[in-house]
Amino acid sequence: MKKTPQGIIYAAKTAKYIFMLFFTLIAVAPILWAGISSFKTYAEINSSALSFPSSFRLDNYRAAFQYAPIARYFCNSVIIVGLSVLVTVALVAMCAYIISRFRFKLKTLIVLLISASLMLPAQAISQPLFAIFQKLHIFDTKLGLIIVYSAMGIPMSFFVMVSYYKTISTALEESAYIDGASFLQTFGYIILPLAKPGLVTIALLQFINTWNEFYFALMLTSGDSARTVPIALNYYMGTFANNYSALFAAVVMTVLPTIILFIVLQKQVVESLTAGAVKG
Amino acid sequence: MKKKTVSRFFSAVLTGVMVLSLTACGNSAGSGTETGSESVAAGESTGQEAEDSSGDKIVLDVINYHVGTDYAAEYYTYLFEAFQQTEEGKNVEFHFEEIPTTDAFNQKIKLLISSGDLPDIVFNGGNNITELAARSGKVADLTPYFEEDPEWKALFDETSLEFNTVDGKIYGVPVSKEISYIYYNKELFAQAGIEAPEVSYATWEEFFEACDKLKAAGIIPVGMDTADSGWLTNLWMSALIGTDGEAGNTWMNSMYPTDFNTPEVEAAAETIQRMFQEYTTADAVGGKYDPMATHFFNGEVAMFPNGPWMIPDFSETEKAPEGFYDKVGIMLMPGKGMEMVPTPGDMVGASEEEKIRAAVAFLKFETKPENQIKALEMTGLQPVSNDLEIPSELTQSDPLMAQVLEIQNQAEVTYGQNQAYWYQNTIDTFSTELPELAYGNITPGEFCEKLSESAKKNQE
Repeated sequence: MKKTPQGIIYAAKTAKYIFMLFFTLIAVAPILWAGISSFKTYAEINSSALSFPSSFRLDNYRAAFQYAPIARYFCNSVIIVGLSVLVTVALVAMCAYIISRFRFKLKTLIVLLISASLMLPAQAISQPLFAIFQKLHIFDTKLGLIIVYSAMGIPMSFFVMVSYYKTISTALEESAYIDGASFLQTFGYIILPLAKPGLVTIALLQFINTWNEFYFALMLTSGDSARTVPIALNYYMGTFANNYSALFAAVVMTVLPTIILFIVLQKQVVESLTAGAVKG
Repeated sequence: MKKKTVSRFFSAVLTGVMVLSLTACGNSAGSGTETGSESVAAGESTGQEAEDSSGDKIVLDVINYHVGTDYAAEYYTYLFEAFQQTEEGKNVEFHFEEIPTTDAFNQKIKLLISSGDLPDIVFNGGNNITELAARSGKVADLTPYFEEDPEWKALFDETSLEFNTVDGKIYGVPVSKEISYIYYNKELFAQAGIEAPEVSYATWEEFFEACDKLKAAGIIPVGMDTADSGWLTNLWMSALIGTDGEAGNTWMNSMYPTDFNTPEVEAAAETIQRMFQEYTTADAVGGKYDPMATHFFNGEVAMFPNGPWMIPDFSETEKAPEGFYDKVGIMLMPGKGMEMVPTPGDMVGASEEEKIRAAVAFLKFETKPENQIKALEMTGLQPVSNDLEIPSELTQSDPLMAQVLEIQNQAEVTYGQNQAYWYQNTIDTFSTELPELAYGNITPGEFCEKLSESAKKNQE
C-alpha cells in the first residue's frame, strides 16, 4: 500500500484546523463583540462598532445594575426556564413513547391536537391566558410562566421525540419483556437511556426558546417576582435614550453564567448526544 | 458508587430548587418588590397589602414606561413624589407596574384594553391607543372635569384637545407638544464658508445650495436613517411635503392618509432619494438613530433634524465631546416650516368616582404650568400651553432650549409627521422600502405606490 506523503497529511491537518477555527470564530465573535462593547462608551459603540474600547470601564456594569433589577430577573429566568425544561422533558419523554409505540383509540386525535397547538400565534392566546391566569390566581407568578413555557415547548419536542423513539429497535423492548421486565422497568432502564440524545436535544431547544421569550413574560406578569431577563434588557432601550454600554454589560452578565454552565456540562451533553449513535 | 452519589446529590438539589421556587410562586401573587417593576410609592408595603394598610388612602394603579434609561424617567419620579406632597395627592398612593419602552407598553395596554383591566392612570404611548381605549368604553370621559375647571381647560389650545377627542368627548389630557426642526453645527458651517440663516432657509433650493457648499468642503451635509421607522428621514420627508404649498401642507396635516401618489409626496420621495445618494453618510441606508446622532455629535455631519429632547445629549460627555453644546445652532425647516403635532394625552382607566377624581387631580398636577416648565427643563418636553412664562434663568442655563421656545413662534408653516399621523403598517413600509428607494431599485412613484397599498389595507 502506498503511504500518504507527510506533506499532504500536514496540509490536511492544517485545513482541518483552519476550518474549525473559522466556525469557532463565527460562533464566538458575537459574544466577544458584546463582551468588548460592554467596556465601551456610548460614543465608542456608535462611532465604530469593531474598535476596541479606549479603556476598560467597569462603570457600564454598575449602570446595568442601576437601571434594571437584572440580578432578580436573572434568578427568575433560571428558575422558570429550568423548571419548564424539566417539565417539558419529563412529559414529552413519556407521552412521545406511548404515541410512537402503541396503537389505541383517539391516538390520531391526540396527535392532531398537539399539532394544532403549534399553529396558534402567541397574540391569539394571550388574552384568554391573561383572563384564565387571573381567575386561577397564577397571574404574575413563576408557576404561570412555567406552565405556559412548558405548554409551548411540548408540541415541537413531542415530534422530535416521536421520531427519535421510532429509531430505537422494538427488539430491545421485546427482549426485556421476555426477561421478565415490567413496562415501567423497560421504559426506565432500556428506553430512556437510549433516548438520552433526543432528550438532550429537546432540553436544549426548550432552554433556548424560553430563555429568550419576551411576549408572555411581559403579558402574564406585572411585577418583579416573575419577570425574566429579556424584559430586563428592555430597561436599557428607553425612548430617545438607549444605553448600549449598560445593555451590553447586562447581556454579558446574563449570558456568561449559561455559557459557563454549558462549558462545564459539555462532556455530559456530548456523551449523551453520541451515546445513541453507538447503542441505537 | 461515586456516580450514584452524584446522581442522588443532583436529584436532591433539583427537588429542593423545585419545591423552593414553587413555594415562592405561591407567595408572589400577593407580594410586591422593593425596586423595579412593581412598587408602591411612598410606602413600605405593596400590592394588596398596600390597599389594606393604607386605610383611607386611595391607591392608584399606574403602568409607567418612563423607566430605565427613558429620557423622562427622572422627571416622572419627581412628578409622582411631588404630587404626594400636595393637598390633592397626600391621600394617594401609587401602585406601579413598570414596562420599559413604549413598544412593549403599547402591546400590553392593547391587551388590557380588550380585557378591561386598565390601570387607573393610563399613560399614552401613541400608536392610536386613545381611539382604541375610548371606543372600548374602558376609559373615563374627561369632558365634565374640563368643564368644571375652566382655568385648567384654558391651558390647552383647541387643536390639542381636538386631538384627544373621540365622538365629541375628551378622553386624553395632552401633556406636551411635539416639535422638530434642524440642528446645525456652527463650526462646520464656518468651515464651509456658509452663514446660517437666522430662522430658516427661504426655500429648499437655498437649503440644497448650502448642502452643495458643505459637500464641496468635504463635509457631509445631513443625517438620515432608514431603520427603526426611519425617524430622521421621516422628519425630512414630512418637512418636504408639509412646506410644499397648501396642498402639501393639508396632506401632511391629515390623519391616516391612504393616497401617497400625490404630486407633493412623489416630489418629496424623489428629493429623499437624492439626499440619500448625494448628501448623507454611507451608513444611513440601514442605519438607525443612535449611530447617526453620534455622527452629528462627532462633527461628521452638519445638519440633523430632531426635537428639543435631544438638547440634554449635547452636553452629556458620554455621548458628545466636551463643548459640543456651544457648537450647535437651531434653524427651522426651509420656508419657516416646523413639525408640530399635539401629543396623545394621558387617560383615566379608573371606574370608581373617587379614583377618577384622584387620577384627574394627578393629571391636573402634571399639566400645571410649573410642571410643564419643569418637564421642559428636565426632559426637553415642549409645554402644551402656548403662553407660559418662561423663566429668565433658562436663557442662561440652557440657551438652546430658550432659542427653541423663541424660534417656534416664528414658524409660518406647521405640519405633522408620519409616526403621529400614518397607519402603523404604513410607517413600517416606509422604513422597509426606504433602502430600495435609496439604492434606486424602485422609483419615487413606486415607493409612494407601496405606501398607498399598505395604508389602504387598513380600510379593507
